[in-house]
Amino acid sequence: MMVHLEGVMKRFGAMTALRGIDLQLKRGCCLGIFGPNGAGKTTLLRILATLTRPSAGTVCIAGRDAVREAEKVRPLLGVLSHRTFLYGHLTARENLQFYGRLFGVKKLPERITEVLHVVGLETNSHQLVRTYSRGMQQRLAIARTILHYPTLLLLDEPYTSLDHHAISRLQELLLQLRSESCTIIMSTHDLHRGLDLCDEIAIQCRGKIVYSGPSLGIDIQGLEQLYSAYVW
Amino acid sequence: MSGSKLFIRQVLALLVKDLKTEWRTREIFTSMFVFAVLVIVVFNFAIGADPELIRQVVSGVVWVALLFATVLGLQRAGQMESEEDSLEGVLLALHDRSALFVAKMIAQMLYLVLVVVCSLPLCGIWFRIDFTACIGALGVVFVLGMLGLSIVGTLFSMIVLHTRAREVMLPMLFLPVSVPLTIAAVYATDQLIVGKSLRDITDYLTLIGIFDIVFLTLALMVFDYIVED
Repeated sequence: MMVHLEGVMKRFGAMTALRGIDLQLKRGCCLGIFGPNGAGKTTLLRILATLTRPSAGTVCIAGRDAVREAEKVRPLLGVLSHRTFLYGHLTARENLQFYGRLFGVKKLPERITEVLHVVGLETNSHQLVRTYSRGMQQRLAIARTILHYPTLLLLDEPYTSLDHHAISRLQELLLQLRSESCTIIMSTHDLHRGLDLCDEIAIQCRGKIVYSGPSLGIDIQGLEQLYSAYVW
Repeated sequence: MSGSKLFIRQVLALLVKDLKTEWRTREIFTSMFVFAVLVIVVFNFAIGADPELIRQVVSGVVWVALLFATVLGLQRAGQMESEEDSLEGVLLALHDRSALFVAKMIAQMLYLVLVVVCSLPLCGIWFRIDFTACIGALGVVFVLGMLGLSIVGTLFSMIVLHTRAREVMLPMLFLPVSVPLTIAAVYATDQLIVGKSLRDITDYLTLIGIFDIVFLTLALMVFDYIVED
């Protein structure tokens, strides 16, 4: 199992964001988590990313405890958050150089050129990131996410700010990564694209996973019906 | 790659990033330097022309200027990391998170050294004090004192990074804790200005050294927990 969660809870003071999440995901699988705002999707992804400690429960990634052995789990993760994690006063290439050095990526200049090509930013790579549009920043954030060859991608609303062309490129990239045995967990409000990409789907509502199962045999109408039945 | 090599490489990457950003924006150094000079100028007007009074207070003025300039620099540095939540991206990439502390501390120390190098001659001109007579010994006091300020300041700036009123919280935490260091540094500087040697201020230097070691050890021990969400 690439991801194994058991009874994961998260409380912020009096507020409970996660109420016992159980989840198992095999290597190379793609899981789409759908749910309304405030369902706890981001909190769940942050716990998987070792950025937040769970209040209770166990989180195992690639057979390691993600709380106690977080430093060993982190290099396996590629995290795309609501924010880009980029520095506006550095160029795109400098941002990737910085993260590449932190991760100790081998043959870094070649890898940077490769990921910039994947996200279609090779011609703007010497521009300061603060001069980028929001969509370009998101594309660069995707490049940052895959730079160090992560084996588990955690994507929080990855389609945010992307134009139609960039969404297609991202979709192709994710399909390719999945075919290379990269495990993907993404939260999105875009049921259509999520269903296209994911082989497992989960619906999260009020801090609980209320539905989970394979996407095989479910079409978009079926997913919308499921979503409406569990969320509303 | 061995742990220590990776640690050094990560510290260097973080430091280069900070210095490159600062070279382009010049926001941190400029605000620290201008503030330090303003403090010195204001005290210059407030104290008047009495040479004996000036001699008595000049070391205090210099260290107060440095103390507040440190707060200003740390606030700007923290703001840079919280834009686009870059700090989280960095934390995800670090094997040992204290690399971030060490890099930030060195960067802060370098900014302070620059501020002292640029503002001390101005201070000497305005207060008519000859710092060149004891410049070597002063260098030792300033390096040890500024190292302490950088250690404590960096530690507290990371603690308050995710708090709501961090502009208020940082000075509230940093200034009281820095008092022992500041007192020792002020007395040591004062003694050097009146012609004493390094040997005469061993007690103050020892106090500053102990302060630096204690807080550096403490910071390296707790930093991982501090940056935890």
